[in-house]
Amino acid sequence: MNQTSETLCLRASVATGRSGYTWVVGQGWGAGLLGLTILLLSGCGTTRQEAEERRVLVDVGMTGQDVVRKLGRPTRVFPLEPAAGVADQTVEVWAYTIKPPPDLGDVADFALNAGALVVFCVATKGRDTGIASLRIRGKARCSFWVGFGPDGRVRGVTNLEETP
Amino acid sequence: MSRIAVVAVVLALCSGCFTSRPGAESNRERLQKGMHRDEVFWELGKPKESYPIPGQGDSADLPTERWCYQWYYPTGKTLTVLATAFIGLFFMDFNAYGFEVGFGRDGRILTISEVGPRRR
Repeated sequence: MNQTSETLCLRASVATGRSGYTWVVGQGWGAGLLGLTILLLSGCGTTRQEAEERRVLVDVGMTGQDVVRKLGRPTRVFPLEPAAGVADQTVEVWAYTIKPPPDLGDVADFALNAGALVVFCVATKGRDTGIASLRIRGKARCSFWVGFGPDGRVRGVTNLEETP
Repeated sequence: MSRIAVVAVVLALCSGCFTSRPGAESNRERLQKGMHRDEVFWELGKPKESYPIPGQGDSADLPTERWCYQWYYPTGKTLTVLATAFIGLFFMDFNAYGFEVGFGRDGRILTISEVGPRRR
């Protein structure tokens, strides 16, 4: 910044009645907070809603092929040993899990948590061992399970569950 | 201090040489039908996987939840492989062994599967 622009800055700050430094810092904080808010809002992913939308596509009585056509292949398949003497029972469970990919919200979350950790460290001068219990976590995954009978048709669907 | 380190390394190597099947079987023997979910958790800790079994109706004889337990000893196996200059690869059992526990509606064990190799 040369002499002329410095003078102009000073004149502008005098004209607005505020210190130029305070004004610039204030604007910076405001923009930072706004940015973080936007990032956080974008990070409030709709994983649960997505999983719910997929879950309601499954109905009792559908075949495995129908389920694959509507939802795609399951994340895991668990075969079960059938209990003797019971005709109506679940013999296979398909697990569907939705893992949200990291997005800008996660970045903001990470930055906030990391900042909090640094502040905590500085405030306690690194003496507090309780900091070890703080963890930076990612978003939870959503899962639901579909049970199939011996005839290969859906016998039941669970509610959504959040898994860490 | 050095003795403790030597004992730890030897134990790790031994656990790497042997299969995890006996460990899984001894853990299975600690469970009995009728035990509550909390007791199982107390005995064996958190399962590797757990999932509900939908569509079992109102039958009290069918499990509605399943816990899968598995044992492998990866650290011991890695150490053994390195310590034997990869010769261990020819004689070590790399299978994970485990079993599944089925819980009924009342949260008590209804079924315990046999111990066998499981996918890691």
